[in-house]
Amino acid sequence: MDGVRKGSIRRSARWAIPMAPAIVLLGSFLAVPIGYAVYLSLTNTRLTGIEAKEPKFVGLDNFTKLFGSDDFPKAVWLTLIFVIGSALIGQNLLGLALALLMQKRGRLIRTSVGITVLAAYVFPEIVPGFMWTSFLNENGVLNIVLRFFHLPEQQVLVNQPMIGVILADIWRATAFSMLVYSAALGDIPEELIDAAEIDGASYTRVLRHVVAPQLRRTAFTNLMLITLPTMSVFTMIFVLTGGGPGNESETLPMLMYHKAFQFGELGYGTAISVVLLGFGGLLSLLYVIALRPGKGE
Amino acid sequence: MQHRHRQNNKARVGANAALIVIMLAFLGPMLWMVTSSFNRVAQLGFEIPTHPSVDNFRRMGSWDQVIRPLINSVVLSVTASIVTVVAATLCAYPLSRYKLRFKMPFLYLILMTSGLPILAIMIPTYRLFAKLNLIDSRAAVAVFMGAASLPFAIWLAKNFIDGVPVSLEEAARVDGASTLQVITRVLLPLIRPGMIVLFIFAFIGNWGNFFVPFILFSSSDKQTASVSIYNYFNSLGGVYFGRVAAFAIIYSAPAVLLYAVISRTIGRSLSFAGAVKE
Repeated sequence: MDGVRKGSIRRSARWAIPMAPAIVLLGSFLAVPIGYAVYLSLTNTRLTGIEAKEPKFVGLDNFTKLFGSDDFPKAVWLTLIFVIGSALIGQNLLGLALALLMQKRGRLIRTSVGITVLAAYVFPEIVPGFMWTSFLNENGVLNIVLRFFHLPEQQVLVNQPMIGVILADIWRATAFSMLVYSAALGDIPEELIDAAEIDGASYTRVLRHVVAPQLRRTAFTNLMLITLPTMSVFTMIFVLTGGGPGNESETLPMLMYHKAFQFGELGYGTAISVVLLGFGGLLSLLYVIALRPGKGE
Repeated sequence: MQHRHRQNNKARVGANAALIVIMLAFLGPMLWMVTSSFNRVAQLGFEIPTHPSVDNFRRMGSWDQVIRPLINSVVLSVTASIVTVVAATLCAYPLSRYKLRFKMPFLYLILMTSGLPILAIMIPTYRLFAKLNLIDSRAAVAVFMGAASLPFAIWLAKNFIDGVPVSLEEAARVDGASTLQVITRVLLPLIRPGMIVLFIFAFIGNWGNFFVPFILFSSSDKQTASVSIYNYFNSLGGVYFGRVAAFAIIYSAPAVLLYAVISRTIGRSLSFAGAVKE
């Protein structure tokens, strides 16, 4: 009996000891803050003052206030526009287009395009913010190009801030989709495409009947992988517009930041975090369910 | 046949033209940083320097603005990445090698966590840090950042270890090697390249991170380059945009260079990201 127990303890120790540091870290720095987020969102905690020291439990007040405010529906709407415009349409389609266009091209052009697109992706996240602030400036490269073609100048960040932040985010993040689609295209057997071409199929028909079915699963995976990071983009919007002018580009992360750290309403801001965590958790769950082995391929 | 050939030619020219247009569009926003860094009187608008000089690089800014934040970034990113690599590799070994009842649920949980927006736990983390007097604690922020990259890192580490055949370890065991010897003599040398990639990957993420140090450090002497450069960019008159651009180039260089080192491996590991393997 004792021997059996010792054996099972030893067997448990084999995995428990090496896995302990990671589990402790994940528990204390991810699980605890998530739980604490739920608690904070039910209190009137503030950054300073009496409610910083002795916050009160206020039930669902923060959520009632949030859902009843004008800011929240607008932020949800802008976040949706941002995710659809930048991730679903922009990064996804441009990434796919780049991967398709780069197939069978010369080494020189493939390498130079690949490096340029990747460079945008690799800069520390704050730097593209500076680049795009200048790019969209009244004397920035965009307006110089527009002037050159005798097109009307644009004050994008003032008049169409959402378009500005969406374009900037597409620019920054497309490389990821490009890599995902390039890898998937590389996995399609050449013979399949060659066979179709020899049979006289046009390029569009090869695309539709040979390439597209193979890419469907990749497209799904890619959309899942880029939706969450796009939903929680903070730095690019923070640097480019700060959520403005007014609240014209105030997505959920910006609203959360403003409420918590500018207005000092930590409890209220955390209610927005909980909404973000909810969306994030739901999407992740969908992703994991969809990827279960035995499903799909 | 002749006809088809011409069609292919047209398609090739079209594809090349489209690629060049896209490439120019991607280069556009980068131009300002390069030209301004060599322009002593750079503004926010684009202009080609009339008297190019490297003055901006020589006088990027004060110790407080540039050098100390860069040192802080190096220390913070290295510490956080070591935490990630060590914890992730240790955690991934049993997941890769042993039959564990909770393995799949655990892996799914990790996969789910890797998608969660860290941004959304920054307010509770700030509050907890403030309560525990950890705001401005470099060690605590480094460990937090290390933990935040763990989910994806565990995933990558498991893939690296899966790639090392068990037979090598078994052979060493038959020869009488202890578990510790198997790990240090057989396994570690084989997964070292993977661990280096993991380290670089984590380092790039930490080096570029803006929001976490922005929220969890309040005193300026602890602040990282990402935050310092943001304050620099926002607080100065147009006269110094050239210096900010020079600073931005120096600050970006490690991330860009390190990415170039690991880009091949990352391209491959991306295709892993899709599949859950027992």
